[in-house]
Amino acid sequence: MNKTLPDGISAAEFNAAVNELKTAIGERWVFTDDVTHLRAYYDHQAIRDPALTAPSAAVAPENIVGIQKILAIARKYLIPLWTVSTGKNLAYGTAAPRMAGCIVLDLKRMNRIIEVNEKHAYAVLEPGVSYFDLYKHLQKTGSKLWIDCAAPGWGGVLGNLMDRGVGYTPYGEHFTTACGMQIVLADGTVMDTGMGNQLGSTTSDTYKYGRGPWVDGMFTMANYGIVTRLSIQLMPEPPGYRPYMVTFPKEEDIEQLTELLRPLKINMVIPNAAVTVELLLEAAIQVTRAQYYSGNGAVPDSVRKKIMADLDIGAWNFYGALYGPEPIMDNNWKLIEESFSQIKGVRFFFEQERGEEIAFGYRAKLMRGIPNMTEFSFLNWVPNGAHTGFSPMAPVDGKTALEQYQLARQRLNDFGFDYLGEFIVGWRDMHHIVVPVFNRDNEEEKRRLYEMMNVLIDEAAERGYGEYRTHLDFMDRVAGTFNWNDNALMRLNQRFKDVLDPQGILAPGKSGIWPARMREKSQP
Amino acid sequence: MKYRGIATCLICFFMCACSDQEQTATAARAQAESITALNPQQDIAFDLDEGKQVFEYWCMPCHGAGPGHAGTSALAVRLGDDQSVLLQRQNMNVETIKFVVRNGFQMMPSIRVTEISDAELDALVAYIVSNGSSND
Repeated sequence: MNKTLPDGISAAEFNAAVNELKTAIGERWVFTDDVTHLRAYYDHQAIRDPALTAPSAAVAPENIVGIQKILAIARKYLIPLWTVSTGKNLAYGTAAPRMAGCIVLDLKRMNRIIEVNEKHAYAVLEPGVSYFDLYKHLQKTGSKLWIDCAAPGWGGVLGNLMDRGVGYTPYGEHFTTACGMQIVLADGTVMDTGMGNQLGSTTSDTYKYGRGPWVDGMFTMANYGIVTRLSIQLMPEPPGYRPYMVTFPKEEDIEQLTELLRPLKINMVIPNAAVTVELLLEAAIQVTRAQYYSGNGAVPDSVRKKIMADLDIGAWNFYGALYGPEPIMDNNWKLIEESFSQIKGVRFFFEQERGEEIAFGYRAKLMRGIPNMTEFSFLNWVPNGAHTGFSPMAPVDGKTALEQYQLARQRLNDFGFDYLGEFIVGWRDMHHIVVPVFNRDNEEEKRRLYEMMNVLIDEAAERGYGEYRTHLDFMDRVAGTFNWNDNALMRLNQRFKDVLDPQGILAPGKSGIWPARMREKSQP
Repeated sequence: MKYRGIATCLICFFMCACSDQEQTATAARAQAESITALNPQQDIAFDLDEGKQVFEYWCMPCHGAGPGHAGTSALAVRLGDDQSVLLQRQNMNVETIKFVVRNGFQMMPSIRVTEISDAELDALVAYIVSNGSSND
């Protein structure tokens, strides 16, 4: 197999660059051998040929000085870098780059928790800190602060926030908890955002906006710089916590339950990023498809009914939690119970009834910020399972929820996949996370999935549904759906790119933003 | 203006005295906020010092015994319940474990050397093939 090289770079140039990287960072932390170490940077859940997103090398600095040296070498040879923090962007590309041949800039070694401030409830940390790291650290030090984690405990606190991921506590909208970043620009300039840009600032971790244009958002889901430090707000442990589950018997109930949910969310009666989980995703945490159905195509309704009965779950399963002093939790629960009771067949459960069950158990952990990996049990739905994410946004609106559900389920079923999905409910928005599960070894199935994803992205856009995040393979297509006024926003993105990274060395193709020198070339 | 001038001098001092911008930013930040510097890198290195720690950190969340462990469930489906818990298996092969860790296998993603070093991988493998008994 030929060695993957950066586009337009000869083997001699590549070897020279690698040698310079080894001198700058240390031979131990530069990886080029595909057999021993580099394979771990491939997309393990690739839908297409993994070679399309294969890196040429990886390099792992331990500090900003190392990053500056790497940037200098990248600029010299015009070799693009693809930055990862913990590299666990599961379903969206893991640690692999958008374009084959990039050198992965692996920041996992930068894993310092620089500060935890109990008084003002925040932490300052580096990109390599995972949810498990931060949680363990807070436990070890007796902190009374909670974290908010995405479903994979392996995931990175900073990396997930940079991709505008979500968790499940009241601090579930991760980007809103960011309070200042340190960023290295492509030319090596180190910059603090917000109040941190003022020497001696006393509010860099408590007031996020600083003075003048607030630029933090520009560096999320982007390729304008490398974020090397983040201040993140943490939730103080509340005096009480009660997770609960509400089941709804009919598929159409998603409409009414979402309507009932909206005022409860907007008025903060339900304070956390709650989830409304569809039948098969709820089931797949606990059972396999083969236990119920051996035919091709989507699981039929008769089987769905049996699964629902066997597991004693709903067509929709809502997970939320109460936080605070007992009287407040009691009062909020009255409102929640009264509201959802308007739906026929609704049932309510607390920890004492279902706490021992796998699904309730891990949801109860996530809603209080205890990281775990249990959710990935759903990959066992099919043998050798992997997944990708189709993740359109929706308002907290019943009609839209039902329509998105019906569209996604119909299209998945048309292409032979089961609908596994959930709505993660924020204040006024819902992340509709659809996770088609496929067999990694089945090339025909992967081709179908790729085609289906393209169809779904286009169909969703026609209805005004845009994805908040997507896999490497679909970044251009999704970016293309945000195209109003002759792609005005993308043209602005490109202007930023050309100014901040004129040589185009940072994460080409991230979110569909390509540097000028690659813009006209069709990318696979 | 005088204060601003002093601040500028301080910035210049840091810029000149330090060899890079990182040191400048860190020094300024430490001075301004009296950072209680932690050293989790050291803690993590200590935690990962033994195969047991590596296992508990990286493997246990999916390969622990009992329900709710994705890897254990996958092995139960493929090989049966008696072969589902890694630390209870009698047929674990050193090279296979190393290959799986670095390349991933089935639903399990690969783990990079920046996450588990080669030395830590050796310790992890020793711990697994000894069925977790060496550190009990």
